[in-house]
Amino acid sequence: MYGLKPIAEVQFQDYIFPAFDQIVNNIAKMRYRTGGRFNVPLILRTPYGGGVRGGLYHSQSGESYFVHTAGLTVVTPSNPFDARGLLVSAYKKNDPVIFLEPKRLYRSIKAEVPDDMFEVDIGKAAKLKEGDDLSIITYGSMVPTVMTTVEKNNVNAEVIDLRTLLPMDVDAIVQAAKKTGRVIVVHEAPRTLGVGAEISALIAERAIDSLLAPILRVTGYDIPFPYTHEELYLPGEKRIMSAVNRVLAY
Amino acid sequence: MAIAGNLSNEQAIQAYKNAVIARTLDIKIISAQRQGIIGFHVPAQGQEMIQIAIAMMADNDDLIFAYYRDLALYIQRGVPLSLIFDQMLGNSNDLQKGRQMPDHFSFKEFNFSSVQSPVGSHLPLTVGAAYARRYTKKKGIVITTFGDGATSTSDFHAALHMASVFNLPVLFICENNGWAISVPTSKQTKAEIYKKGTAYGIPGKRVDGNDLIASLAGLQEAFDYVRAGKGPYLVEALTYRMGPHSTSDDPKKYRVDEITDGSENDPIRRLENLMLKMGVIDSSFIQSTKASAKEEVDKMLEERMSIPPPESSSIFDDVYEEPSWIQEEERRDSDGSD
Ligand SMILES: Cc1ncc(C[n+]2csc(CCOP(=O)(O)OP(=O)(O)O)c2C)c(N)n1
Ligand SMILES: [Mg+2]
Repeated sequence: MYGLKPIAEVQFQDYIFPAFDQIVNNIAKMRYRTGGRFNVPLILRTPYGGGVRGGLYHSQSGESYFVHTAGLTVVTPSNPFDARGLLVSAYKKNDPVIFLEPKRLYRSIKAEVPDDMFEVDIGKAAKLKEGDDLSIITYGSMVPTVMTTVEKNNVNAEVIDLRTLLPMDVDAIVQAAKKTGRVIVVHEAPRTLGVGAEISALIAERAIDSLLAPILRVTGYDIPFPYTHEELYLPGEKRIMSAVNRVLAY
Repeated sequence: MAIAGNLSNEQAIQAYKNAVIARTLDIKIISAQRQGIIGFHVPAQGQEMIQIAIAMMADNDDLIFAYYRDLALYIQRGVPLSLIFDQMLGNSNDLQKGRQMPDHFSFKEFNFSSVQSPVGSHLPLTVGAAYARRYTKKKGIVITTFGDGATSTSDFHAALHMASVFNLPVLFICENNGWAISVPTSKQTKAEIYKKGTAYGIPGKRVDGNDLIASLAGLQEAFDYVRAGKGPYLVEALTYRMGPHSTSDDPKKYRVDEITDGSENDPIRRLENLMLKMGVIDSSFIQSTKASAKEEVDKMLEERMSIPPPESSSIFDDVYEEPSWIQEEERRDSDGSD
């Protein structure tokens, strides 16, 4: 970027869409189209997701639009430690990073974060909980919901926080499927062509012999984000547990 | 009797009453928001007069693309308080079925389109709507309102350009309230907003949007021009955002000057003073107008609050004319709970 390292912020992910052409056609493709002679070392931070009574235009989870665009790196932290560590890693990259911040968590979680410039590797998932009966793969805004649900209901599940959505940690995904044979993906974005679809395909391609049950997706619905009934839209304990029980009983 | 030009005493009194209702409603909504009854609000306080002037000038046939801070515009155009509250509450009587945030109105019967949040992105829609009007030989022009911040969007420029090149009947009205959240107009634009149409061949005019008489006079020229089929016109109404950007905003962080209710610059106060001076109203009229506005607004919120929310399964409707198997399946799976 002619000597600069911009860290831009878009107030809501919903308001990125007017800049979509720039992101997809210029930012993501600059390195490729110039044979590697130009690059865009940009970080684009933006709050995403619902649960703040923000209606249609302050609630969307649009990660799939970006994950579908080669040339971008897409990360989403689920806690303060990862937020800082991923931001430092993103800063060191010479390619554009879409940095999705789950806005519902801004005020709902608090944690101490070390002062030093530690890094959280881009492309590496985190195992938040060990477990033997099934694997729950999730990220971003849904991580606390999944954790409280499995703890409250004593589910013997391992929980994986993807942290990076593009490129996904394929090893962690395949290992999880091979270990427990039962996989649930939880995300807030709509189901159709959501990140869960990609995870399911990766497992189907690389670990189908290990599967003991169908891979289930617990996701937001394929509708615009509603206002009055926003709590119905967000996946919660009941939807997660119904998938857990189905997978375990299979 | 006329207050000025074509403005009769009765019209001025009606405008005043509606401005007072809008102001009262605004204050009521803010307090309801603090009590958790209403989720959010973008107050229109300080911008009532230009909004009322627009509604007075517009014909029923004119189609209006308003923005999110236009409470007085709806009231002057005759939208009942009940429907306004129903939308703010997102209850089962809300015409939009609780789908949108408060202040994102759509009153088709009153020839309003639909408000969205992305700043400026309704402006290109006005161009298409105006094109359709001309093509189908429908009566009326298209009017749109937007803030000073919206003039920095590419959609604003695309809309001016297209409206002009097709010579379409669009009246663009910028409610320049001095702020885009925390960004003052001086950091928003170097050029004057009403001149921004010049390069597109669109005439522009600046009016004192806090003065009913000046607003009406300025708008008259603009309406005449657009109605005569000469093409689009850009009005910049200078006004002032008296309150916070929204109920999520704390202006003390970025703003020191403050016009509060009762200031001589308050547009309602200005009309009040003018009418008092001309003997059109007296102080007891002012008191009774404010008291009855308060009573009406309080009563209406009380009444609308008791209306239940929409059916939960209705969140799957209206994605398409007919739901696809995807929505049907998700509706079945959801059985109305999380
Ligand atoms: C595309 C887009 N970016 C950012 C926002 C966040 N936002 C909401 S209102 C607003 C300020 C708009 O100011 P202005 O157009 O002057 O209208 P006003 O709110 O002052 O009436 C901004 C930046 C948005 N709604 N849409
Ligand atoms: Mg403004």
